[in-house]
Amino acid sequence: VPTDPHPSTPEGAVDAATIGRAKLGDSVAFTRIVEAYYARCIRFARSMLRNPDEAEDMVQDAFVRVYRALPRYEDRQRFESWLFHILANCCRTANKGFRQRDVLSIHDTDLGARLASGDRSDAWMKNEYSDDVRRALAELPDYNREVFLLHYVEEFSYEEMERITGVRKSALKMRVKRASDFLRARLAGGTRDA
Amino acid sequence: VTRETEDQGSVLNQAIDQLRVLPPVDARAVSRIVKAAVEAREMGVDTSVAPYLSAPRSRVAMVSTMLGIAAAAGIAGFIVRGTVSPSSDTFPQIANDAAPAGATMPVAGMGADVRAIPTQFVLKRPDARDVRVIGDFNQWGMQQDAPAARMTRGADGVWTINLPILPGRHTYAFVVDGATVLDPAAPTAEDPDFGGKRSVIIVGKP
Repeated sequence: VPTDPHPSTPEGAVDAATIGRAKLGDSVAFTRIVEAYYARCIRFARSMLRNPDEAEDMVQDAFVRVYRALPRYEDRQRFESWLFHILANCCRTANKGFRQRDVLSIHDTDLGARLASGDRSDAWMKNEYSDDVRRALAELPDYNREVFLLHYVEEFSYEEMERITGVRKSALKMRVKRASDFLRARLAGGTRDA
Repeated sequence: VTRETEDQGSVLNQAIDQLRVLPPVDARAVSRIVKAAVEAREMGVDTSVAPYLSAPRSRVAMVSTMLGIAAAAGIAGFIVRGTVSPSSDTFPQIANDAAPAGATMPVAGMGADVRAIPTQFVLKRPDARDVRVIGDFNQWGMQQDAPAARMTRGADGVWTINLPILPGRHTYAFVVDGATVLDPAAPTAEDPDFGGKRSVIIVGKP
């Protein structure tokens, strides 16, 4: 059984005063916010996107939207769940576009091979095992991959995930379970071929 | 040899650990993102049209040139009362008391019949150190030339500001020491784009 997420852990969180200053247009405060969440956003986007090379662009798009919308940000909602709501939307849109282009122009594209190919810029986690994980992850439907990542990697609670995805808790739990079952079986079974 | 079923849980845990590895923070990427975000926030300005007269939810029109004028003039022809009397849960009163002729002001480049109406915002917060008002009329404080309007504290802890606002429906909120606060005396509406509530004011309502 995977370790339980601890959504209350304020790891790398930005305090309310910094968010308040960024809300009023303080770009120094906004820089702190980007610094604090950049790594997590890249991590999520790289795992989420069908084309991981778009991660930088998607994260930039998300932060641009965040800064423009910040004056309307509600303090009741945890900042990072609002940020991931916007980032997840950007990734969903990008994946739709990628799938269409893929169908139109690239036949028989092996997403797994693409992910495992050596020209990725995510060298920070490049090793044989992470390639197995990424290949298995890429086989998941987008919506199952998204909730799996939000829950187990980004450690959001189901309540926050409801706000991020707009999907009900019961459906989210089902998707997380399906994704977990699939990855568990795939990764355990994968050793047979190795 | 295949792994045993009981090991499958740890297989998943390993995968999750792998996926949790964070990339390094790329300082150049961070400054690129901030630059793009700041530029985008400034580019929201479009002074050539006043679209929110016909489409109230658009936030493109600018009345920034009017901010200083109204504050300096202190004209209070139309008054929107905030929390001075919290019991008042009716629509903000746009009291046409002693509105002097010519109290309205033409907005540059918007045609002679479009005039901003001086509107007073009021919020009682004796304990606050900094109170501002943000709304579609000042681009939610996003533009450098139209920053969130800082309100003035009266001796009784009542913060006020006069702003010239174009006629029409507007949404706004107060920012009290960095936290968004709705106007307890105004009706609220759901923000169509980002969720959450906003206070609503209709300026120039007959």
